[in-house]
Amino acid sequence: MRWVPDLGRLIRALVRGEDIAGEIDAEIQFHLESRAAVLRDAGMTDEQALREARRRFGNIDRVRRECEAIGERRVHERRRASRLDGLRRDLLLAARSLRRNPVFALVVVTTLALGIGANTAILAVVRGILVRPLPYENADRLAALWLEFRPEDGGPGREIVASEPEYLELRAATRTFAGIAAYWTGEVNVGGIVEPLRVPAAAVSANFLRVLGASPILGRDFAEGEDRPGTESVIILGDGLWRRALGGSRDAVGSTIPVNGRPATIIGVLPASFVFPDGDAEILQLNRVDPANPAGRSSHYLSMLGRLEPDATLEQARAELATLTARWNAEFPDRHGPSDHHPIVMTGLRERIVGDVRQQLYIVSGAVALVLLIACVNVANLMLARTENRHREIGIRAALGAGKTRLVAQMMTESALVALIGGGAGVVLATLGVRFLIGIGPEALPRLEAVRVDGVVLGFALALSLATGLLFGLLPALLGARNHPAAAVKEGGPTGTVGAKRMIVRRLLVAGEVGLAVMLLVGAGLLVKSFVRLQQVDAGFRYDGVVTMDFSLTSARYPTPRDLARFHAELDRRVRALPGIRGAGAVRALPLRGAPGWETVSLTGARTPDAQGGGVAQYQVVSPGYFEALSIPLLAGRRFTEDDRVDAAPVAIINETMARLYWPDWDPLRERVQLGNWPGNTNPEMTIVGIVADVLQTGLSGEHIPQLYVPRPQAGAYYNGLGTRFATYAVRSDTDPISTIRAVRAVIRDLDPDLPLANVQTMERVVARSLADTRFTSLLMTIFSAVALILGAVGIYGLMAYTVAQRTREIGLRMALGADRARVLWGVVRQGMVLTLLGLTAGLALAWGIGKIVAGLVFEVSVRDPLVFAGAPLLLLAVALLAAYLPARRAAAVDPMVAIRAE
Amino acid sequence: MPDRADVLQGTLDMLILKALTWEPMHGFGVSRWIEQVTDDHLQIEEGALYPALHRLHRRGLIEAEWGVSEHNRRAKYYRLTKAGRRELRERIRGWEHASSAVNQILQAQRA
Repeated sequence: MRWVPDLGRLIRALVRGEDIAGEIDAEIQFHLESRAAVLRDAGMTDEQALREARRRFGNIDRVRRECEAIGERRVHERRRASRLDGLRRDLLLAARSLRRNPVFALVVVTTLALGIGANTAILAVVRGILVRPLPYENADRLAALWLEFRPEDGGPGREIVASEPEYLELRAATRTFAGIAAYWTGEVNVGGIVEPLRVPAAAVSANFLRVLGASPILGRDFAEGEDRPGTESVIILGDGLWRRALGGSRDAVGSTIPVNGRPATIIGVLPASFVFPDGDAEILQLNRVDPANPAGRSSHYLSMLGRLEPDATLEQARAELATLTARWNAEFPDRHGPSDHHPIVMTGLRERIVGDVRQQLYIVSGAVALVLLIACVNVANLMLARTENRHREIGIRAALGAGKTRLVAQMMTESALVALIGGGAGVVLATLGVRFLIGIGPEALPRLEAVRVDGVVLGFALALSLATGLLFGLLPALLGARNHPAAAVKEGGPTGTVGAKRMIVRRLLVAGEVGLAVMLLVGAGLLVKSFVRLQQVDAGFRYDGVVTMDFSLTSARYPTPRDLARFHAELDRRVRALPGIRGAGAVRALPLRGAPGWETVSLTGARTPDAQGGGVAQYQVVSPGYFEALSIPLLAGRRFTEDDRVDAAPVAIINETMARLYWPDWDPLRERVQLGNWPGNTNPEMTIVGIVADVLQTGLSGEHIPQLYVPRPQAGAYYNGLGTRFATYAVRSDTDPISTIRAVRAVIRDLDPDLPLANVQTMERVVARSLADTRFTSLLMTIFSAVALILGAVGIYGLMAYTVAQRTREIGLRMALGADRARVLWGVVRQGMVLTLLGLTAGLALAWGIGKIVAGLVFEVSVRDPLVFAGAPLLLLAVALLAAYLPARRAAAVDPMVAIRAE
Repeated sequence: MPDRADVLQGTLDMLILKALTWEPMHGFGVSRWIEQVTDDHLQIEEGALYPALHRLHRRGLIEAEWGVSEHNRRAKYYRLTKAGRRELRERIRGWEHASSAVNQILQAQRA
């Protein structure tokens, strides 16, 4: 029987190398013919025999199909098994090869671990801070709202928080927000436990947690309307405080603890996963607002948070806010001055929290990617070098029948293995690195609690390892594998054409990594210079020898302004009597720690360009000794004294910026100011008695702001004593900080044993914290460029050492023929220097071109700073010189006779 | 003379393995061997042999090689592997165990 082979089968056979269908046909054919033969012997005719044979066989087609199916499956399984087998063999070979070259393996694994580990750590940070959603329900519906204050003279706008009327009006009028909550943060004294604690706290509107999308895990939330005046004082604790202060006891709910001296009932406890969106408040109180009788329009103290309606977008909300502002401005045209309707501005909550650091993190990510690239270049170079040494082995393998694909596959397996081991070590490094980053980051980075090494990060590390393995493995594998044995043995060596090609590639790689390294160095240089500049900024006061501490005097124990004044007067008197004290005083807001409490002021009798006679200033309440304690120079008039008592004539001191802003051509002394700027204002008018120098209130890179200082005893009369309870006490002394702190603590404990102190630290520490941001970035960049420098040096050294080793004979010959050592040395070094210069030029050109990227991070430093652009390459040249010199020296030390005989 | 019996798949495997115990055979040879040994009492649909052979081949119990038959024709010879021998032993044991149990039931007296 003839079987017509069909085309499909032919093709399949060609592809598979096995003709399953054909074989089955042949097998069945054989059977039928054999059976027919037997039947013929038994006496049948040919036709009969064939027919009977067929009959006995059964359904030929079905059998054929079944056997084909089974056959295909068999071939498939065998193929897979052989592939796995091949992989296993390659892995074993790779492992053995690495074991035989432990130094190589160690260097490569370490290099990769550094690169992959650093990148994984940074990814964990970026993922936690920028990618992870905030821990609230539907957090992308949340927005932060604030007001923009635009000065009448058209100067730059400023962010301010809202006043009670503004908050209530917005809440009532909005259609795009499902709810708007208000809060302000501060610290409170919590008592009733082993020792009084001073903890960060927030006073919130009753709907705060509901708007945010969080709820207590024990007890209940605040009820609507519970924040009206006259209701019982209730609080919700954070998990940390609950455990610390109350031992995590479930009986805590319903119990009462004193907060700022007054009993408050605990109605709920928040889960451990809860994080306050603005700072780290551990206790939530209610901010009492009377909707029928809100506080003044010019008292701005409420931060606002909003949750969008399910079908509203951010754009719609923004549009609505603009409309509302315009409408209010039109409805109340007689309201003028800075206390009219400020435009309300908003942005998504997460953006508000992390927006500032986004650019920083992107730059750091870019830099660390460069480090990985350099690491890959180094490893590629090392592998290329190794390929040369293995050309004989490869030749033998090729002779034994390994095709080019096989050889490449085997070498890629080796690269992959090395990369995975490096990746594993990198993950370990990354875990440590993440811990390190969290450690140095707390003030610099928001949302650090969301940073951790999780499944996604590990997956990334794995993918990165494989990708780097591919990257640095492909080049050497392609350049190393050859399937003609003789060619492999001959050309694989350094003198063949492939060897020469390899050499060029290696040189280019080294030049490339030098270029990348210099880019990182320039970046680090710019940031470090920024950091140094920042540290040199004159903050307007002296901080050596100054210690500070915060406390707040509760209205329970110090109900009247006189009580407060008495405490502070006595405190000042006792502290100044201590040995070595040069100055002591309290202030509402310490410089460099922010500028809370902007108030509008009315400048009665002022001769300012602003006809409305109003302005704003940051409101500071100080004790007489404050300016002395921080050595803030007095520019005109006098400081506050003990005579500026509660019942004496109201006085004020302004700073330079305020004087220049509102009395540009006149002497402000003896002019009068009044807190608040609206008709019917009952705050007493104060006389300006002094002008002090500016201090940097918001931070070292901030601007000077207008500040108004008021003596503490008199401040009780303004705004019901706003800013008189909380104080940061600054003490300058000649003795060491520890004993100063101890002595002052003793005085305070004597005056009031239940008063807890917070943030006890030296002023230097305060300054350091304000530098934390820049320090973080510049520290990371410095680490990265140091690693890049080391890797670059290793790369250059490796290449030079290799070149020297290859040319030992030639060098020996040269020296035997009379060339002097110095010449030989110079020859090698020069080669290395040429490469370095090539790389430097390319890298510097690139850095010059893309320098704008870091413009946002540098402070008072141009992105093309000549010092940095000169210094970075010089440093690299010096290192490269050393890296090239060492092998050169070895070259020159070669004994010519030995060298000539060497292989 | 028993009727043409339906032979269970597992039993067929066992028979094939047994057939190959002594020397490699092609599919037709196995068929003839079964005929001869059972004195033609066991008649299997001859086609059914081949899927069974291929399945055993896939499982690695027998291996296959193309060779030349006694009449100088190309034929596919099958041979037992070590795994195949092991399998056969176990199957025989299992069969004997099962059949002795059945015997016991059939010979049981009314208790």
